[in-house]
Amino acid sequence: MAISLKLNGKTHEVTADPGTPLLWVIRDELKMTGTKFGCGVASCGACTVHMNGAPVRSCQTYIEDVEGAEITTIEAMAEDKIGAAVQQAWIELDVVQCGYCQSGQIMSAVGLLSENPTPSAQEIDDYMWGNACRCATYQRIRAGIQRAAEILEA
Amino acid sequence: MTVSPTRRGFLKGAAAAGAILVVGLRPDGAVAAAGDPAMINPFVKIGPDGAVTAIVKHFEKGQGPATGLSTLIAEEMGLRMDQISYEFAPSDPAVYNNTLFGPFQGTGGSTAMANSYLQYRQAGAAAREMLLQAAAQEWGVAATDLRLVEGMIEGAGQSAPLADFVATAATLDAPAELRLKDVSELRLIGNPDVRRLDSAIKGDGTAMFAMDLHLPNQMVAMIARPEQQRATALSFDDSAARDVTGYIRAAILPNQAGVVVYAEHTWAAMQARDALVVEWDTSAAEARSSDQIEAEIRAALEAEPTYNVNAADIAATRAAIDGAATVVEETFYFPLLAHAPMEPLNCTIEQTAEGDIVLHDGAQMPTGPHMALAEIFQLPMEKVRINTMLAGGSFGRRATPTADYQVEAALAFILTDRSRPVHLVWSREDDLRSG
Repeated sequence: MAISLKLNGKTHEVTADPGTPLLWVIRDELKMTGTKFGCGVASCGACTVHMNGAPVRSCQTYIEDVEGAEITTIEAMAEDKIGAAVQQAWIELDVVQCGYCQSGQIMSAVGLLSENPTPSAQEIDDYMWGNACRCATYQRIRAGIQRAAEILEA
Repeated sequence: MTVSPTRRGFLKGAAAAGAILVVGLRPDGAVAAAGDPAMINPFVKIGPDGAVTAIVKHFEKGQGPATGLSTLIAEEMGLRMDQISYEFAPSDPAVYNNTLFGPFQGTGGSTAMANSYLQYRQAGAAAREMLLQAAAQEWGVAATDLRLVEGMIEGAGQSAPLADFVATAATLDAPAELRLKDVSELRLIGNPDVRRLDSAIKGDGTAMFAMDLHLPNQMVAMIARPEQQRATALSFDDSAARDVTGYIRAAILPNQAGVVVYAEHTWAAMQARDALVVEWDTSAAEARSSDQIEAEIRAALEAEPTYNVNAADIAATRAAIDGAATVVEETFYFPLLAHAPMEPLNCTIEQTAEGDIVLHDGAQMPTGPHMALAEIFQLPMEKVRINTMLAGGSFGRRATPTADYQVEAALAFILTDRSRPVHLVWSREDDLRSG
């Protein structure tokens, strides 16, 4: 099927079979590789993107369900006010290690801060639990989100 | 082989254009003359614009050698951390070996900094001294009156960017003796304010992991593996797989360890592989259950030891336990677990127009796949190259001197006409079931 995919403010005409995960259209067809493949079953969060502003797992979001929706990926976060603050905090605190999960972590963190500008440590843990980090950078992710909240408040 | 820095010479030389200064250790310890081919493998490279690049011989899986080794060069060259970048070294066990592993390039066991520390500081110090010497000659002053500070050469009433002296420095002999900076002079080593060099690219989606490579015209390959280890593929039926858009074909691997599915993209490879019906020969396959394996391990613990027995130690330990006031007894049993790095295993193989084989891989032990691929493709080592890319974790899984997944990719590639690169991808299910 052919669909118009609205991604980071641009419209892409893409062709994919129904049932194709948005993840593989983004990665293999559009060759935007910031969105990661980690598990394919929405268990790790590495593939997190925003659909109409809310985080979704792109490996379990099918292409036929995103027609007309606004999809946003990590590549657009520098132009997003909250995204830029999270990226700045991530660099300040050296949050990343291997980095493979971090696009997804940042997309979820931006989702959290758009709903709740000053989350507590518990609220961060509750919101971010679905994003796995095998390097276990969780302490710094939590600190990074709190630092981003400070940057946005200033 | 261990490195004895004092016995090893430094080499330097100009690249073809004459404007790039490269500094590194030559494997035989001699100081290289200009034009010596050994100079093609430097630890630090300086471009005609003064851009300094650390050539990192260890792979980056998050543990930090890209930043760490760059810091050593920047320290000795008086650079700020934003004045140095890094590249991963090619595979060359003679030049980029882990000096604690012997003639083998690889990363593991927390050795990256330990085996590189003096090597990279000396390379940075040699580059610094050659640049200062070049400036001293040009200005007619003593090199000892000059300093290299944040990319500027200063002293004797003069000041100019290091870029001005790269061409001259490239014609000089490497210094016979090097002075490393004194501990009191260190600004970067041990400084907690130094930040990772790879934070920004890992936060904006531009970092290139092996999984992210899309070579022109590449195919994606996935392997249908047996449920039981060591089962072998006898035949397969791909009639359902043929209905998958993007499916190309399937073939039994030369070692019969599985059936490789080739497709235009990853999703097609996944679907086609799921649709494949494979007939397996399980006569020589692993048939024990997890419970049986655990029972065997527990029985072995209870049995009298027969391997590497130290009877005196055993007797002493038993006596200590027997005489103890309190004995605490607990049993811990860990099942076989997958290492499960976040980035599933994958690598890409292509053949160049010159017939070279290039492996693109988050290569933890490059010498392993380098040797394996040379054997599989029947090529001399110099015709096999490894492009080391960022790795999304390892936790031991990529530390494979036997090169298991790279060999799979090579076997998948050798079954093709080699006109298209092959990107071998493991799914998470592959990792957890067969990892």
